Amino acid sequence: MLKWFRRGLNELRMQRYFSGFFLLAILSVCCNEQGNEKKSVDGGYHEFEIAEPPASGDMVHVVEIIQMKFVPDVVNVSNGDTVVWINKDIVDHDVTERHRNLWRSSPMAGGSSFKLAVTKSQSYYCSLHVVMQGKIIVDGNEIATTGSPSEITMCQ
Amino acid sequence: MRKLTKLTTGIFMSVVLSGSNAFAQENPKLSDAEVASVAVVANQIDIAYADIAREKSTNAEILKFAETMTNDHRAVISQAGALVKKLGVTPQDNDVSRKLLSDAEKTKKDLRAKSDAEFNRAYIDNEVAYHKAVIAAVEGLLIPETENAELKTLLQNILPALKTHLAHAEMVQKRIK
Repeated sequence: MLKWFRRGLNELRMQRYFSGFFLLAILSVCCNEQGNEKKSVDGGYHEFEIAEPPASGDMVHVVEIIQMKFVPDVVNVSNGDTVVWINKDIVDHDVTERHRNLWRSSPMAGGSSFKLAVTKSQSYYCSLHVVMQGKIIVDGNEIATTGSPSEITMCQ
Repeated sequence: MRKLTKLTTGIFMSVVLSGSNAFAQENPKLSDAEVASVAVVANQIDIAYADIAREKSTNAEILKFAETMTNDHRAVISQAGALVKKLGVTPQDNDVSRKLLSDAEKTKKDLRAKSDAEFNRAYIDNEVAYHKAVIAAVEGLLIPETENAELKTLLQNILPALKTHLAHAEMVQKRIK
């Protein structure tokens, strides 16, 4: 009787073990489907998982140019992130670094865009409509008036 | 029914000349075809002013501003042209568009008579006054008078460009001695 009871208890433990394994497998599949890296918090039987923040430089921030404004006019980014400006206006615009003309896009017709990998906080404007202005803030740093150009990549 | 009375013309032109929007309370009548004509003519006139700037000025800031006026007003005319074609509307000359053109001829003659330094000041002063007047006219006359929703939306979308042009012109005006 005692032997039978112990065997039953072991089977129950095995069931719990495999149930847990099965749950982990399901969670793993879900995580892969979402394409996010996740990690276990406590490694225990009951799993709670959190998403890791994207690595610095992974994010793409979109600024729309619409109704003669940069929207949003201030973008907070991490070092190495990419900012993409998309012209959705009825007239051409460009994007030009303000202090030293370190970089500038070509004139962008409606529907075209310009992207820039940023490493420093900087202010910019549209040289065609000089009252249009915007700022990129990298890691919360102040905007410096000197520095080397950021990497520039055009896309139309 | 006569769409536009002489009184309306007088009120509109007082707006064009003074930048006032008092005419809005008078509720003058314009058909959509007449609104389209006034909108196109108003843009063509500023392109003509920019053409004179290119002929007469050597000031980099004036030339840059004039280039932007040419490109932006051409873009607006292109949008308006595409819309009236889609709507099957033919822009119709009217007292307002004719008065705008005749007044512009006088302004162009005055601008051409200026020397280089005088021209820069006269051109940018005129750009400030003209954009104030056109903004007031679009807000107070053309948009309220427009029945077609797409034409009304186009006029509303033009306003931010006109206001940016005005702010730009005022900035240049402060720098031109």
